[in-house]
Amino acid sequence: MATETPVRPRPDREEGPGRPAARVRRDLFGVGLWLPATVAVLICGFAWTAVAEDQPYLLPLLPEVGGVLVGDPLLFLSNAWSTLQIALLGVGFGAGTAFVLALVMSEAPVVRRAIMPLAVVLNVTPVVALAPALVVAFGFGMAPKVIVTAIITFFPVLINMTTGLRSVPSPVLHVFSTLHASRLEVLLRLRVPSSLPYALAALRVVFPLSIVGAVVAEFVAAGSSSGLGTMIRTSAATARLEYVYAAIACLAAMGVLMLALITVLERRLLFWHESQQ
Amino acid sequence: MALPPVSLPRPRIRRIRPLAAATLTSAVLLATACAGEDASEEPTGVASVIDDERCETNRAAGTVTYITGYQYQASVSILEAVAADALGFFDAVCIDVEIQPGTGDTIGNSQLVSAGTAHFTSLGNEAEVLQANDAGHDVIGISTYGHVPIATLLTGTDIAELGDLEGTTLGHKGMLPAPLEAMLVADGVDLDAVEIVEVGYDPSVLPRDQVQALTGFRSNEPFLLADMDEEYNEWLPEDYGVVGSFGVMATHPEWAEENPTVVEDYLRAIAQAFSYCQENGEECVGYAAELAESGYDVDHNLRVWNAEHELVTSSTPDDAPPGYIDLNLTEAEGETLVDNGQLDTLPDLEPLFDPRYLEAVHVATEVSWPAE
Amino acid sequence: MSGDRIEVRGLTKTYEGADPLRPALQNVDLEIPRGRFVSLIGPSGCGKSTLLRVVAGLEEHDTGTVSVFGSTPQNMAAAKAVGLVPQTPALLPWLNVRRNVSLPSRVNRRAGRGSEDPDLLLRMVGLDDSARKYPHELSGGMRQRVAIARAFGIRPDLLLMDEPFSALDEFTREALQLQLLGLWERMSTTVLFVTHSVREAVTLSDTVVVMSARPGRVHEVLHVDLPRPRDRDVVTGPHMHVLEDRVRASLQTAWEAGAAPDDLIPL
Repeated sequence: MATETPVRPRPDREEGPGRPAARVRRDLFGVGLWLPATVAVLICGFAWTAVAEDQPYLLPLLPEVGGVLVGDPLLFLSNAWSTLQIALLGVGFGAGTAFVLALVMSEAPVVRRAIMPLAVVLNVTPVVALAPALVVAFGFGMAPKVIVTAIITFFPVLINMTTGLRSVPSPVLHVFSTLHASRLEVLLRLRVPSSLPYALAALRVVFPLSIVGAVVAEFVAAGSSSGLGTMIRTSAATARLEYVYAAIACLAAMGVLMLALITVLERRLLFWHESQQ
Repeated sequence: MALPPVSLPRPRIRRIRPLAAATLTSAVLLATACAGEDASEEPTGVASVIDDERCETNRAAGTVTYITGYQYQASVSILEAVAADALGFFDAVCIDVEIQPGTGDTIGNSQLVSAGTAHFTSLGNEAEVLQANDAGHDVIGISTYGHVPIATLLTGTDIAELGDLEGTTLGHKGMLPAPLEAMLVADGVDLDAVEIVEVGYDPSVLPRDQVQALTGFRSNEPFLLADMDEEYNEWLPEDYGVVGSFGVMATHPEWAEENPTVVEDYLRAIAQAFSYCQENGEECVGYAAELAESGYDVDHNLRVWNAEHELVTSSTPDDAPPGYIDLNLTEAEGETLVDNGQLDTLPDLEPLFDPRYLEAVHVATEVSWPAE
Repeated sequence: MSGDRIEVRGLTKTYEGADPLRPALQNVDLEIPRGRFVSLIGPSGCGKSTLLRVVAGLEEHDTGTVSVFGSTPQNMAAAKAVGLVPQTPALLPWLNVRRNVSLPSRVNRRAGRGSEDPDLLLRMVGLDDSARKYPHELSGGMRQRVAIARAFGIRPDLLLMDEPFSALDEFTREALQLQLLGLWERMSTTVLFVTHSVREAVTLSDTVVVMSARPGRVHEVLHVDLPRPRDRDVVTGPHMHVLEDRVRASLQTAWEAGAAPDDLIPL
């Protein structure tokens, strides 16, 4: 064998399942990640307290917020779960529909021309206008709220997936062409894996967005009085700000959790992509 | 630099595990979602107050849905429905009532009634019946409990008369309520000289002097300011001859025609609950608290109830039952809307309000509750 | 139309929107006997890559005929008898090396004449201990070797290579050239190889087709009578230099024969 150029220096890969988990753990819990965030949070905390002491009806004191959280954790947990259910079902439904629709649209341009304008209209329609119609159609249960959330999370995934399915480099398509691969084979073996980075980038946006969507859904869709969105609304109306911000704290925690979930998913599924190198 | 994980011979398996987990989670969530809302209440031991034939007719109507004006707030017309359900009054008249909390969008609620998704709803005032019909919603008012405007204007103690507001800022929560606008106009205030802005829920904007006048509900903001130990002046529209209303029960006209006994007995049960809750406010508010899942301020809602039911009593003449409808007052209220441009013309009021159902269950001014 | 050679007759192709007086390929005639190693070389714009793509069945042509061993390019592709090594390795980054090499055997399963053992192929290109690595862990040269192994995997009748070594440094390039020749001699197939390196063309081929640009056409066909197998002695010997000079001279005239490109500043 003739000499070859030196391989780019890369550490030897170790066998064993421990490495990726250890790497993820270290990255998620390493000091480098938590220290800057903690410092930033502390600074915000001091600024908050300064305002809260001066204007108690603008911001509640942080100990009061902590007090209601600790005083009735079950209330917040059950309402958080209610909102989380809507968020997860909504994003599952919205992203799932977008995924399927993007697949169909990539193979049938006629469908894309028909659907895209409708999708744009749906995206810009304020959901508050749609909510009563959804309740008429689907009743007072979870369904209208899940649909509102799905609508809010649908469009970014659709757009990203459409681009992703089209972003296969042409040399690879040529290779598949000379092998006379069927359209289905090209779709499943090439286009779908290529679109995964785009899909996950969209999910990074819409997973936390689904929480917002669920809260908005609770604001506008009648039926069911549980959920952090309802809590924020009723507490704000009676100026019980400590409940408002306690609920917001729960929503923030949920958002962070959702984002962490997607980050872990990305690491596992996109190990081969430049974004993870 | 990131290390790639060990490559298994079949990466598809690796992808199936998170996929299986996701599917399982979705299945669990769907099961929870479909597990349904609260189970229907068991019938209490209250004896039926109507005869068997009427009872059958009422049951035949199926589940009757009432959508509240705003969550489970202890406002007039909402709290009575909640209490009637909890105390078994609906069972006593053989109506299966399902109470759904509204988001506060009362015009949206009228849309639901018009579509048949709900059968009863509370509207904010009689003017909203006119506005709903103007928007094409098919609803009629069947009872009006409060006959004064519920809106109030709060100012600092330095405002001696409404004219002082010229050159200052007035804050509202979405729009300037028609009775308040009428009040200012009636007192000769030049509205163009007042800066009208939208503010949030925080009433402290008034004591902090960010606005010099603040709109609100008589049952809400005054108490909040009192809690803050702030002094204020309250300006009531009726003192300036402005007519208004609150706590209006509405239903679908055709459905009501087909199920008159249901509508009558619904109002009957509500009226009975009103009397009960006048004496037992705390107990009734407790029932509402049980229904609210995301927290409930019992003290605040008790104050709301007390303020509102007293206004109902004080605005109801001795010779009329609570909930009576006087189309002369309705007309005056409607004119206010026309004056400030929210309605183009005053429609014919007769078809939009039907007091027969209420009258059918009242003898003189007392509700006809035979078991007593 | 005989089954023992590739015949191109009167091939003309103009790209949409381009100058019809200067087609990408004009009246190209070419004959490639089975089992030969043929290079296409020429200045940019001479249509060598276009010609390759037409033979691959990836592009349509306007006039003329293309017959590949008695069949059309599309039928050859349908029979999975064509291997393609594009300019960039075009590996699937989410599959490891072994799965990339075995991919063609898993696509369009019904066609084809059976496939080589991927481990054998990897051994032949010297990558058997990288079988479980992923493309992002490999150097450019290694990736290109995987692409070559992949192309050989379906035992193709025709192997098309579009400047596969142009992005590599000189030493890697030379090593891969010899490795390719070794593979070719073992697996025995017909190769059509596009390059812009004179040295590479002479080292590898039996025949060098020199093309000229604007319009794209065959300028001259030169035979390389170096002995096979071509080891280091042969490619550094005197006859090699003679052949290289001959090709270079032909290229020079080809360059002059083509119309000046619009984007060149006149000297």
